[in-house]
Amino acid sequence: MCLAIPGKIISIKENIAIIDYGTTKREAGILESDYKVGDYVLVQNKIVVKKVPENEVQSCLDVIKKLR
Amino acid sequence: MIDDNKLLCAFLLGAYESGSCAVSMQEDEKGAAIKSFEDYISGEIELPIDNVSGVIEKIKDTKSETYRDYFYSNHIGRIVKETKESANQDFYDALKGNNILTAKVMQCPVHFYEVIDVHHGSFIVYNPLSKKNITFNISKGLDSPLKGDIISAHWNQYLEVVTDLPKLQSYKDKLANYLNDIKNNIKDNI
Repeated sequence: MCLAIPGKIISIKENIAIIDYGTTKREAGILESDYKVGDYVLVQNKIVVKKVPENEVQSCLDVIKKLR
Repeated sequence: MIDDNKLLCAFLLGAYESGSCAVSMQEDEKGAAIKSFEDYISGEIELPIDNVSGVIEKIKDTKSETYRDYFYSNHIGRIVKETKESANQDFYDALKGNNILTAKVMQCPVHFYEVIDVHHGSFIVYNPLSKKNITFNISKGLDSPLKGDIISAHWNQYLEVVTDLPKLQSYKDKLANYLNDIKNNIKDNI
């Protein structure tokens, strides 16, 4: 895949997270315990595989702010 | 201008180190692939065919005549196609309300920058997207640009000094249209 789709965790119940992608929300499984609500994550095959680092989130948000 | 295989490895180095591509790979596997790209660029090994064959197939699918054609033309179409497939939505619908994805699809194509300052082993360019200066390191085996040169980069990886910019004008136009269309389509959520 060229680019994984990032989404924000908006809730976690047991090992299932609800991921907000902007216009859609989808469920994804969590296999590790270090994810929390508010994290931006990447999902592959309905499993959360990686947290988008905070500095990367900030730099993306900076790019968007500069578009205003 | 560097040769196609070296350009391919530098492009993949940028993709893998961006943190946005090859996310399903194990860290040690990804680290080994990154090292193989660096080693190829520096001339220490033959082309690491196992680590490049996947993207070569993708490039062939786009009917690109050379890797260079893909990076400086058809890659944008691939970003749109794969984003739609991964999000299972129209491209612009996938971007609505998702500022992180929007920023990433804007950063993902190969961009051109003018070199404004040069240091030993690195150089500085102005990034009009983030409106900030950014520093690129020069991987061993890549040409050292001079102040005023136009260079290309993929994510945070410098690729090459662009010596055939007039030939790449259609890509510059395509990139500008792609970025403008994104801005226009997501203006309600910024």
